[in-house]
Amino acid sequence: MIIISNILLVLSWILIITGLIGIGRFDSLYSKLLTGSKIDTAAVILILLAMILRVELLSFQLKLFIILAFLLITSPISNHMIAFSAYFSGIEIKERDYDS
Amino acid sequence: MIITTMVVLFIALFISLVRYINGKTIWEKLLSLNLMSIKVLLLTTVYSIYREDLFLLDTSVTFAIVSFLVVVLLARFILEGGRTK
Repeated sequence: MIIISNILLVLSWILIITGLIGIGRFDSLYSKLLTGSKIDTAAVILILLAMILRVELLSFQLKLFIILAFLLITSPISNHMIAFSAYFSGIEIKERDYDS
Repeated sequence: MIITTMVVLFIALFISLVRYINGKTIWEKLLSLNLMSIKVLLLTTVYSIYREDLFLLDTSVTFAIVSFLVVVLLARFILEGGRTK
């Protein structure tokens, strides 16, 4: 169990570093929102699953599962609200916006 | 292994803070605020597992609710016109 948890933690480091590089490279707001939301949701799932595999007590696992379920529901909603607010406030979508 | 995770999360939090200060429009700052809140939440959760403290996870649940409400209400507030209306 500890070995699987360590593998998931290493994968989550790679995902976090990749997300930071991607947010730095892109130019438009919507591309940054896409990479940020995807990478961050994947890193949250991996880290919380690693923590669930690492502890033994049932109460720890239930609380971690509650946090995971809440983040899986609310993280896409907050990213969608940022994109909604930016689009209806007049920021346009470009055609090609990578590697300016 | 779990200490290295906390170090990586802290470095990512610092880079997100620099990106929050250097953001051009207000939506980029809001995006960086969302990323920062998620990284603080993960840092709190990993630290509570490291200390084996059950009641520090309640702080994490509360922080998840508060950060979600902050991002959604600020986005609605900017969409309605902000303070200039």
